[in-house]
Amino acid sequence: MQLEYFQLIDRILDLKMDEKTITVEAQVPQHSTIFEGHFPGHPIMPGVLLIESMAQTSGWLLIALMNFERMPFLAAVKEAKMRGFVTPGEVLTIEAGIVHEGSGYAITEAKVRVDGKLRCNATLTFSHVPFPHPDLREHMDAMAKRIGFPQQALLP
Amino acid sequence: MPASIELKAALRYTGTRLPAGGTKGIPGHDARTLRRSGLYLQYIKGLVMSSTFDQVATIIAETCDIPRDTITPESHAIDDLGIDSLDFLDIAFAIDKAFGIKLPLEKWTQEVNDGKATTEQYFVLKNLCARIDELVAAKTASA
Repeated sequence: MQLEYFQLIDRILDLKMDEKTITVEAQVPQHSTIFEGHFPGHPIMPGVLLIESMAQTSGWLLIALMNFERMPFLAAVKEAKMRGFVTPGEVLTIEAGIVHEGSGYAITEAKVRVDGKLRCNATLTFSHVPFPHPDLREHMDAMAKRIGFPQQALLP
Repeated sequence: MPASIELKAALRYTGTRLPAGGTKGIPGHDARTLRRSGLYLQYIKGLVMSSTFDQVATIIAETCDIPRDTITPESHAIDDLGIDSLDFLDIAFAIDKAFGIKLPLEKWTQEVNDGKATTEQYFVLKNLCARIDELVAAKTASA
């Protein structure tokens, strides 16, 4: 994770296009200015960042399903539950799956686990549009490379 | 006269009960006369419409916390009920799920933006219900 750049996903572990699921991995950094305030003597990863990590995981799944032609944007967060503290250095396994693919929007369910134990989960709604700017598309391509997006999973 | 297969199917599909007395309950017409006059189809359509509207109105009431009795077939989802685009996503999801269809929201938005359609065509509830019925019929036909 590079919290200061909002890069919350380290690598894609698994992407199943037929089942429409994704699993990614992310390690919470040992040190971050965020932990100085959240909280002194008791550093924990903020819930909003855990939600963002589930959103980014879902986002990669949606981008894959839409063949890198559209960009999803987080539109609604439902049933988000923070079930336990996530602390510096922990390795998160984040899974996401599709609940519904609508016209211009999609709904996913995502879960964050640490050592197999559920730490948080949420149902997320995204609206998606064709990439609004070529720079964004370029950025996502570069990010895809960085996190090991399996290009072979995409349809030719 | 027993209800025809089509009527039975329409009733089953919409979860609607036949009026007391079967098709005899439709004043002055038996099923054959109705079928002949085209009123029969209109009658089925009416049953489907009212049921679609009931489901959609219930979805809107529950999703957006709008009193059910303020929602009428003439209500405009945006102008009258004040539903915004994000709330409409929730409604679209519930409708997609309930009817097994995919409301073509993007296409509709594009048509409205291009001036090829008015919001009334898609967002006045009786019109929305008619669109839903068309999508369900198209899905059934292609199945």
